[in-house]
Amino acid sequence: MKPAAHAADIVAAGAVWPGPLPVTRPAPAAVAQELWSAYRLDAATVQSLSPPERIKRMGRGQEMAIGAVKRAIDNCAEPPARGGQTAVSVGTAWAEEGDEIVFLENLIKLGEKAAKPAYFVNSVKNALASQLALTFGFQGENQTFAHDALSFESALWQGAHLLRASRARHAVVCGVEALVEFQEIHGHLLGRYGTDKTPLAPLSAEKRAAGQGTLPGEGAAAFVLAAPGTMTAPLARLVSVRARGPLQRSPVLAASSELAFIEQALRDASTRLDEIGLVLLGANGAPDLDAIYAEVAHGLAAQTPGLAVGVYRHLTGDFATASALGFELAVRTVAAQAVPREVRVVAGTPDSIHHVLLYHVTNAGHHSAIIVSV
Amino acid sequence: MATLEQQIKEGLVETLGLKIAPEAIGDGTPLFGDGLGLDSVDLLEIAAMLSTRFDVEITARDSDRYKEIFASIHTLADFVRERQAASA
Amino acid sequence: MSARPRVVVTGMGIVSAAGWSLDETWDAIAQGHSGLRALSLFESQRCGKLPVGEVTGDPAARSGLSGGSRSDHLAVWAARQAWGDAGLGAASFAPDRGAVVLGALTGGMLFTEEFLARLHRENRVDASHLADRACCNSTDRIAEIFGLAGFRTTVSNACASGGAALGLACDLIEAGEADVVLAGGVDSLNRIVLNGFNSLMLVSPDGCRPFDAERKGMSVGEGAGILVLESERHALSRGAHVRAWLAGRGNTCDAHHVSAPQPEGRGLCEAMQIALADAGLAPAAVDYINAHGTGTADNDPVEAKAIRALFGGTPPAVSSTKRFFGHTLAAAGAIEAIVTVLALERQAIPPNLGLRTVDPKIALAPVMEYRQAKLEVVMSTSLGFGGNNSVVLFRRPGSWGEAT
Repeated sequence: MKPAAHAADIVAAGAVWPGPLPVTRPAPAAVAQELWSAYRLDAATVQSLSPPERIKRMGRGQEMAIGAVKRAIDNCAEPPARGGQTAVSVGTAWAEEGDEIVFLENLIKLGEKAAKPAYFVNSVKNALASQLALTFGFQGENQTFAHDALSFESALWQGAHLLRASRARHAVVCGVEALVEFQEIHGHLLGRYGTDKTPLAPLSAEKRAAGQGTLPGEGAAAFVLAAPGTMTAPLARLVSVRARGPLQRSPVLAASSELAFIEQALRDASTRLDEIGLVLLGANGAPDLDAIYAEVAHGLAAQTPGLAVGVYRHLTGDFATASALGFELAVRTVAAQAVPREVRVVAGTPDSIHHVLLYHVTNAGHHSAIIVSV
Repeated sequence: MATLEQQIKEGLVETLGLKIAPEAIGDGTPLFGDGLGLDSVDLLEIAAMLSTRFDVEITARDSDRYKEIFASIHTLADFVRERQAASA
Repeated sequence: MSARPRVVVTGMGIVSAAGWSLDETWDAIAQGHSGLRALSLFESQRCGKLPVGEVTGDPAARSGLSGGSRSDHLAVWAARQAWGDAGLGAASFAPDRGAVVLGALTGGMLFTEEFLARLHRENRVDASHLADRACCNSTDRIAEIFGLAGFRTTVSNACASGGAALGLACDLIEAGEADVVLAGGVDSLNRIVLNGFNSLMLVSPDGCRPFDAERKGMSVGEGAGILVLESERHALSRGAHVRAWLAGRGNTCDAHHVSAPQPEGRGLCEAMQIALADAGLAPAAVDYINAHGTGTADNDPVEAKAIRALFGGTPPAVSSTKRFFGHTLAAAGAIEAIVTVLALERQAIPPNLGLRTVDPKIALAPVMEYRQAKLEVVMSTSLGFGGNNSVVLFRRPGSWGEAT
């Protein structure tokens, strides 16, 4: 029985969204002769993230993280203080990998003499978290988690734990991923992404064309957390985070095990399935994964007829920390006790919503179940 | 043909990814502190740029002159001219 | 409210340039034998002559893991040792109560380098190792091999990752989230990190000499350190041998600069204070500090100032062991925690190898010769880019009361 171990108040949230629609770019000529599609930040968003007074460059991930945190803080009645009482936890699978690639390509093309040190410094994975500390003056514990689709969930768990252990007054928790060309190369060569620029349609009847897979994306979401009851009028309450990984390298996913995982998460959170007003899924529109999600949703609905099920990756594209944006939607849902209209409801009829279950699973077998409540 | 100062400014903006036009940097603008606000890592990037673009090496042996060499575009240009003359 | 469970170390595993086992590592330390040598893992025009902490032999041949990156092999090797050392078996814990937390930075960076070199130089695309690049793979491999179905994650706080991973393991045990945690760090050599640090003019051409007047920088190293952590109660209930008590930890962030530490060492000083408060101990209780001591111009004075600020005129014995194996990056906090626990067990202080004359601007007198000492409380410090400071504090078994 561990719900109190994870509970924290979500005081504020802010996000930087890609999109709203996928856009294409030519693939690197040496890799493929085609257009590659992705959910990218649009020009106006990119512009808004680079304050004019700052002339030095920052990585895109850093800019997104700062942008999301700024938006969260702007929404705070009692903003987190500078100094040691504010901790920072960032989840990012690849951090500022774009800068690492620039550093590496420079080495390859121009030789070691031309190495670009600023790009190396920025490419160290905690550069986003340390830039947040620098920008906002947060000197509390500063952690970066880089574990694929468990990155944001780790940051959330740890941020909440710190608060419960009274090691910080506020925890700023951020999930962020900047899409860089190398990630697109990686994903396309491993057969994950399609080339069609039709938006993702997770769990939808009008699927993308066969063989299209999913599409990559980018974005950031940040949350200001506080220990339960310490701040006035929180948006929502983080009830629990359960995040686990597989015990085999290329696991065969089974809806039955996924359902068991979710049931354990509910038990840990002392929450019944019939209390859940909305199940929000990280389905990414790729047929194989959609099939698992669909079976899981079906299995849940079988226990609670009329259970409302929603999807959101048609807004974000598919990336390890997109769950942070899903979490933002979950928080917004319980704060308003109604489903935001951007969320696509694929089953059931949402009523007044007091609890949201956010569930994710990936082909690699990393899965998570997060419960938020009013 | 662009003056050495102009070329250095262009090199600086490109290497450091600065969000200003090269012309916006004054010849005498302090590069560190209250001018452009560059730091020790940027100094190393500039050194690498001088090596690649102007074939001028700054090594650890010059370290006691760093403050002087990197004070402004003007001092950087003087240093490059000094080194180029020495190797001519 | 029940007492916080005591977190104890029941097993350790290590690999670095100083050796493939705890004994090999300690032998090197006792004999003052540095594992730094010329780079042989890959060619480098500019960095080829820099002494590095390169592991001898082939990790891929010794790990028992098929496929994966050099980091994966090092991590799995260390994990196997730690598992055996802790006397763990499938019945030692319920699968969901076994966790793994690793600090890592590089992962399969060598594969990224090879992919791009092939693409740019040969115009050839070879996707065969793309899936082996992620730094979290080492964590996943360990979880798979040992059936750790509980919490798992990868911490990437630059050079302070290893210490942070140990701290998070304590969090998991204290929160009742896990009974047994394999925690530590791993990193492997590659062109990006070697050239990266070298381009920052931080690397010494003659091997690191921490705190020395003539020090010229750090030596990049690689390796893995894994500790098995559990609650004392859990350890005793399965008859495990307790090696040390992880009695305190502290983590702070300078928020001063992306790569340079706060010059007065305030962040580190505070992290040490937090660790001491966590352990309920006064500074005077500390017998030995294994310093981060990279040998760079900036790091060493900062640590010395932090230590002076906290301990005043009578600091405990201090040494940096980085000349034995180099700066092992995300593994450093874990490898050095292991060395610190070994010091506690063997009641001996590792020397600050490479030190000839202390920098007169550094008000510290690091231990220069290996010697026996009565050690009850020891500390290991790590500082990382971005101003991350991580401190862990260990106490000798038998120096405390009832099990919790």
